[in-house]
Amino acid sequence: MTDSPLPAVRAVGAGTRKRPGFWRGLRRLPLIPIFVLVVLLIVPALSADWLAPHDPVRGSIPDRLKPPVFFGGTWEFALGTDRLGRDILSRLMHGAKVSLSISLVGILAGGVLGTALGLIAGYFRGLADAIIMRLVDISMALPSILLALVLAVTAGPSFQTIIVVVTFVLWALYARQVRGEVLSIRERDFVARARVAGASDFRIIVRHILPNAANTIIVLATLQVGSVILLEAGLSFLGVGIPRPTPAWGLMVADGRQLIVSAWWIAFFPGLAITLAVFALNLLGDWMRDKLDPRLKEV
Amino acid sequence: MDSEPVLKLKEVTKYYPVTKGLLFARTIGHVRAVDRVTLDLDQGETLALVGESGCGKTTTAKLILRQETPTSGKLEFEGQDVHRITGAALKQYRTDVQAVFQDPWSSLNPRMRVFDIVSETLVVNHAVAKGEVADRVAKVLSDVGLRTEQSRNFPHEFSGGQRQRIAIASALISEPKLLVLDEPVSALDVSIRSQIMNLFKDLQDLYRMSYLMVAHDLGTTRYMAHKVAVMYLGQLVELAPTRSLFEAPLHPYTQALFSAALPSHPDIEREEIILEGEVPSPIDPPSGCSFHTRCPLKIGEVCEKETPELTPRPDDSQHHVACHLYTREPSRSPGDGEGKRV
Repeated sequence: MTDSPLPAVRAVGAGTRKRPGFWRGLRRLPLIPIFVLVVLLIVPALSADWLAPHDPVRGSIPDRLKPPVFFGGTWEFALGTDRLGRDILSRLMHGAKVSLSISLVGILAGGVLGTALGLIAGYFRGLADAIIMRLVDISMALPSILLALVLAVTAGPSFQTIIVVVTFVLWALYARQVRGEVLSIRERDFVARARVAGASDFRIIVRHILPNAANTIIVLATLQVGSVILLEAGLSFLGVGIPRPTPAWGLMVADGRQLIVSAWWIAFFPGLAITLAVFALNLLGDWMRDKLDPRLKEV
Repeated sequence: MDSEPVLKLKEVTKYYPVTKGLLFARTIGHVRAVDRVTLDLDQGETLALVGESGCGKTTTAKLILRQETPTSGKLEFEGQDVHRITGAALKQYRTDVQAVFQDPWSSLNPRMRVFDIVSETLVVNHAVAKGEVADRVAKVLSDVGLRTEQSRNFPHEFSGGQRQRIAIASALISEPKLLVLDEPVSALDVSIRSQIMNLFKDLQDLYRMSYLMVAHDLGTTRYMAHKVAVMYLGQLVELAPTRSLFEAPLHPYTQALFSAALPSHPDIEREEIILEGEVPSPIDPPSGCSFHTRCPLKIGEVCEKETPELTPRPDDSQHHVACHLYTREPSRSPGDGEGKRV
């Protein structure tokens, strides 16, 4: 049975996998947000240990409250120093490391947990769906700051506490979004086909449903980096996040609060860093959303 | 035909419960999606299920594909109860019975390469040795008119007709004995429908398969099917070889259905039977003959009280019809029915 009943039909662009839109796509990248993120977050986070001009934790009292370079200061402390004589620039660079690692670890943990539960709820429906979605409702009804306060009081403020809080806040968003996506994907015919062929639930979820929900998850993750940085800053500002003297951006704003009139630079620069980073991340997330998933209009 | 039927449906019934209330759901009724359907499908034969939307043809297909379990009745494939088989026999069934769905944009996973889509049935059921999979994929791709190199591509790189060829290849990979076709050409451009229909016919000879085709396009049905079953509200109302059904449809519903189809030439004059009213709710189907509320040829009380059975015609044992017009007064022809119009 080697002879074919019909002559072969040629596929469009078959065989060679060319990418005509690749360079054009690259030119349309949102360059400003990416530039801001690289300069503000990624490079400092990766190189703080070598490039930071001063120790971020140890200050020197004679150098305390030095203003930034264009406001009567020197290049030695380009962005000035705080009350304990610690270099703001160095602390900002190390703070980027804290913000980035909390966002990445928190989003990974929340994303994995939420995606798994969302897949289970959407795929199996029934009792599992009901229980998971009520948990989502509960989780969304609880104020995250309150939860963080309780956790900080009982477990003590630490990196782990923040990760737990971030995970707890994020998983519900993933679970809800992924479940919705799964509900539509599972009705498509390729899932029915796989079932007819006898594919296991595990195989259907991993090979058929998850890859088709991946865009949604990636977009959601990108959009959330900004809000996680904001959450971490808020928690640190309240003193229930990263413990002192670790340089976290929110903590630095809190430290500069009392001196905002006399030494504005202490709170100003970390505040600016938070604003720019979150703004750039939101722009990038919006771009990814438009690019990958036109259906996801509001998260 | 000569041998035992491949597939037998015996009084197959599927009811879906209708529930009311959010917290404490109560069953308030049942949708009779498929109601006591009995039919046989012979080897190498194509049987078409036709009828309007919601008449139960897709549910019947789902029952065969084990996507649903029947409320009562039995489906037999080569003598085995389809919904009771387990273990190795179940694996065998899943390779013996395959499906091609209507919409090739929905039936191919956009994130899988053609090779993985086509080979899935073999991989899932460990039907052949690993080294053999590539050879089998190459063979079915060439059988459906695609090239082996195209197995590296993703579905979005193909046109509608090509995508349907991929879907067909993925059904053929396990060399099935029965293919369930759920409106296999209705999502395609008219210009490539005939290509795909001819492909189905050629493959049927090549693989010696039976087809169970769900269709609402009568042209496709006439071209593809050997036998046609007409369904209305979950019940079979007429079952006949394609030629005799199209030459002389007997059931008033079949006649109305055929008259609604476009003729092959615009100048052909024909009588149009317009059915009045809506299709009754399948939750609460009419008593007696379920078509009596809309039937233009209703005889009288008997239609409202007694359910007509599907019986063969005395002059043609292959042609079955469920209508009192033919069981009560065999001499009567459908043309002079003088029942009042509803």
